[in-house]
Amino acid sequence: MTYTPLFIGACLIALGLESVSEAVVPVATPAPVSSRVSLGAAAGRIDAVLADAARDAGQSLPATIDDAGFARRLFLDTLGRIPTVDELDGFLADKAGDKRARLAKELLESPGHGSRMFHFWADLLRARTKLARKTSGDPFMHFIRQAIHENQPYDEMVAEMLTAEGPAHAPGNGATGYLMRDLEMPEDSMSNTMRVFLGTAVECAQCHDHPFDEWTRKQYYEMVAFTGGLEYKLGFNGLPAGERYKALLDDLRDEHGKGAKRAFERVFRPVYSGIVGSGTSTVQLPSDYQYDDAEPLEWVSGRNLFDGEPGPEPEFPESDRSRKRNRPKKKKIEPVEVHSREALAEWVTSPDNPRFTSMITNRLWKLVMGRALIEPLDDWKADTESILPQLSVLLDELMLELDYDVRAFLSVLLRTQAYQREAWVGSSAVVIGSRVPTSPELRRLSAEQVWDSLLTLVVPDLDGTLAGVITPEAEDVYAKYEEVLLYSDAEARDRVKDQLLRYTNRSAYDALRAEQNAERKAARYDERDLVRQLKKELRRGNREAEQLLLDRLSELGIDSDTDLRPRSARRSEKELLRASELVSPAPADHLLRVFGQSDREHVETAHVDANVPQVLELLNGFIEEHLLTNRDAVLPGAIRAVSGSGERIAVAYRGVLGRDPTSAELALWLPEVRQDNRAALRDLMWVLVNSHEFLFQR
Amino acid sequence: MARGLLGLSTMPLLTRLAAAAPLLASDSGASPGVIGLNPATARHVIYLYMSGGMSHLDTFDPKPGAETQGPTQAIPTAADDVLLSQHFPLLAEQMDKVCVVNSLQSNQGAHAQGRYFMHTSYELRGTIRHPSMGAWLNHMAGPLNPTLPGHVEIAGGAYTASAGFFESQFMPLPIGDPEAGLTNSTRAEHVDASTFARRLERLGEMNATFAAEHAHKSLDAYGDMYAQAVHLMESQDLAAFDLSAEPEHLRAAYGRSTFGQGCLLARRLVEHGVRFIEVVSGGWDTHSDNFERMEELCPPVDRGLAVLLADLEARGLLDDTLVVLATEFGRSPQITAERNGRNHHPAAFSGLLAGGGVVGGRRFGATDSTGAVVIEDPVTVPDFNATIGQALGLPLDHIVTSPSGRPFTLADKGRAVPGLMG
Repeated sequence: MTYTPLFIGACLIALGLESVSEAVVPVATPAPVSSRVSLGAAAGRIDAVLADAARDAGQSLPATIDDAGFARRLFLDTLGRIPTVDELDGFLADKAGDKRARLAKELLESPGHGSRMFHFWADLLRARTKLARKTSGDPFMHFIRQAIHENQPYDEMVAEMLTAEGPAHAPGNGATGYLMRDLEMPEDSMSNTMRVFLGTAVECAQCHDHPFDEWTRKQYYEMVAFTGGLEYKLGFNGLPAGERYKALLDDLRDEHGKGAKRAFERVFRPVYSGIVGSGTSTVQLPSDYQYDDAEPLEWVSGRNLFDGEPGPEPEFPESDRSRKRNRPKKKKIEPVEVHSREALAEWVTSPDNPRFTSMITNRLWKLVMGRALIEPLDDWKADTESILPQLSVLLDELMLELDYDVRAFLSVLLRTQAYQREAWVGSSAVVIGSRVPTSPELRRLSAEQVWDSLLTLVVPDLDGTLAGVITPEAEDVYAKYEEVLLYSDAEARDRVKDQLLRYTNRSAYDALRAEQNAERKAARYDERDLVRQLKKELRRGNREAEQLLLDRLSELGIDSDTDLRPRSARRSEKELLRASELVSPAPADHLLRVFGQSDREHVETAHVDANVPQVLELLNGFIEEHLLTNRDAVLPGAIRAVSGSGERIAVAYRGVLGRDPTSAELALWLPEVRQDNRAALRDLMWVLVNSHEFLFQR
Repeated sequence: MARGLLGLSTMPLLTRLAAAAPLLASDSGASPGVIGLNPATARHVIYLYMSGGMSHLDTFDPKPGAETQGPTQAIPTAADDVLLSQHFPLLAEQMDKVCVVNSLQSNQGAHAQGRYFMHTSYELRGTIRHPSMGAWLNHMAGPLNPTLPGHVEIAGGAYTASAGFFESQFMPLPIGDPEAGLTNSTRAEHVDASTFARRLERLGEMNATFAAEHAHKSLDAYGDMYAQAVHLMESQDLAAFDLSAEPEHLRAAYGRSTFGQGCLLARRLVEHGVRFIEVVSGGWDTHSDNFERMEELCPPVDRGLAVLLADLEARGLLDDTLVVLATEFGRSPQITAERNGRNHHPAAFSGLLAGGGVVGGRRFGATDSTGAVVIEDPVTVPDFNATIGQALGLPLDHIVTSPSGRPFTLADKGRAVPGLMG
């Protein structure tokens, strides 16, 4: 066995000794819920508005939900999973009067809350592991995790995404991922921005005046003008060592001809993607522009859609006679950057822009209560009204008072009386508009809540498996980025030559790749393999190899228990991780997708509709494989840990449904459990997890 | 149209009933979108999708003698007027059943956009997801066999067929590996029938109690799906997904490739009343080593498709099953010097139509001497889809409004192409 530099490098990466910029190292615990605003008083104001409206509507207030029901609801809403038996028992045993508010605060400040909120943002912002043109989405996901963790104010978070510039893979620059999502489609990007942050659907106006809203096609392009000049590829000028690479490429071109550029770009791809251009505040109308108010291909300037205020004045370079003479064929006019994206961000996130605040308050209300005060949530027309305007005004004022502190806002909602009440179980068929939302609505768990709740029954200390703000996958991307930036000329040259081979001699290239892969594979020896290998070598009498290996390991400070694979490789093998830790979106046949996880291709496309594969999965798949035939599963262990048939039945109910069995249920199961303990308890768990009660949130 | 179907003794009862009913569906309320249909020549579609952009020059539109043809040779076929490339010797014998469409045109030159356009007739937008043809067919025409999903995608990627903004029941049922069939559709090994029945009984009691206190249409939907799933598990139709029921010689005839077995599975699903089955073949993005790659890519498609056509015909299924072969775009006549490949070429490419009322043994439209541009009877992507829709009896002007309030039709502005079906 030989030890390549690659092997040693892999060891270093495995040990976390590789350099990742300090900029991305987060603080240890999530930001606490704190505010100068009295959260309890704010909750009281919401309840007062609801009580008045309910009285006026002749609607009675539902009863307060019991502690067990409240706990299940709160865990699902804050952590995105059901409580464990221990968590539930701990809460029920607490006799303090303020225990509901305390639990809410505790859960909002725990890492599991970040996992829950990740999906809220990922669905909205379409955060995917893989972006177009081989750009990684991990930095963008890292940006989202960090924003949740630090409780970055919503307006700042949005402004950061709208103004982000630079390499997409640079540590700490993940906000560029927002614009990278609509690669080479600045028009669609603007449509999404308007919809996501301002609840305004303008996409129809991309091709014609909006047929049933007020927007014109010209107005649409005046909005697009704010992102004028946007580019998605850095080129040499955007690179920290751009000049050096440019010289290198020129050299390679001389040596190898045209193919050198493509090979070069392949090698440097990790540093190529990114956002360039602060905004020119101008864009050309399309060639098929059909209205009288402007000509096709006319340049229009940035102008805000709602108030008609102009953005920064666009600037075009002075025509330079000498340049013109030298390059007579240059037809394209290139306007100058005037930072119009900053102006856009300022306008979008301005407290004076009423839809901006309403959008986030509505989304968070919906997250907690099950239905927004304005539906559809992101397609406001001029005449759109809240079902309870006075409540909407109050929520918007509160959000402003809280300076867009999302966690404090959620905390207020969780403290309301409304949140403590029995769920409203209305068929969606009835006229929703007339109902005062005095309590949360019955709803199916989201795909992520289903998955994470199933795992709660199976995996010990589930939230302990969360990677935290920066995942190993993002670390790997940053490490690759920095590695490429640090190539010496000679290294870069070698790599480009490898790539050139790809086009000139495919079979030689494949052979080279196979060799490199084999090396890489060898470098990924996991500890057990290493020990196994060692023993094998030892049996063969090869003490030399063993000693050499041990020496190397000790030089590196690796003890024999260390897993030598990269962290991301280790993680991806363990599939029973919370949904936020898996690839985004999960593969098409994954349980998450079967239950309606968004493909994150379009805004908020998750669904909670029933289908046959979901049911087949519950009938014959996950429960059998992971809960009933897995010796290490949590719930069966908790059941085994107590004695007495009645107590065992109770633990099963508390674990799956978060409540004790009714006397009728107990009476139903007791004889069977007494007769054949193991088989009957398996049946019981199977029935409980398959029940509608498990799949729905009250 | 149903005459072939009625003769088959293996046909499940429901399909037989559906087949015996007049094709003109009524507003029976079987499905929310079901509408009155026009006269149709097909009731099922087997949609073979060549993902990546199939080279028309090296498959269905060879240009013998052209400098840009490269090493690919043309061969004669059972149809006088039609040449195929050398890679399709088996299909050549079946060309009496096939209409080769040589004049397809797209305005989308990138894969995701092109695939999306071909499947939906609409351009890919960041703001809405449009339904693909299989979803439209099921939405408008309703199920033939209510115990099976009407829309199945075999070996597909994640982003081809979709229910779009329709209800999720119109999402294709994904079958990743045709040999594995429908996963989780049988009881776990250690669960015997009586245990399963006992559990279901308990579950029914429990859900009834819960539903009594929580009347909600989502609960009803889950109740329905449990009934459907259990029904499916018990149903003989489940056998539709099980290729091991096919004789070994036939499985071998289709070819032991994912595509070949996918074609066989598609035929079984048609027999069991599934309306729309897509089978995907990937890897057609031949930017480099185009000619070597053709030698690997074409044979499974040649074998799978040729045997499928023969098999469908032998069983009397070809009459009302429209077999479509499509791709997102063609490939350029220019052969790249560095990589010996062909680049994307949306301006002209080819597809196939067979069965389901198509007059075979001919080609439709033509390209110039190098296959660069369409010179006769151009067929745009929406027109192609409109023609398929019309064959299925789907009204092209029927407007469905998305939840966001926007109006959409089956093939956008596409119109059925006169003479394309025959």
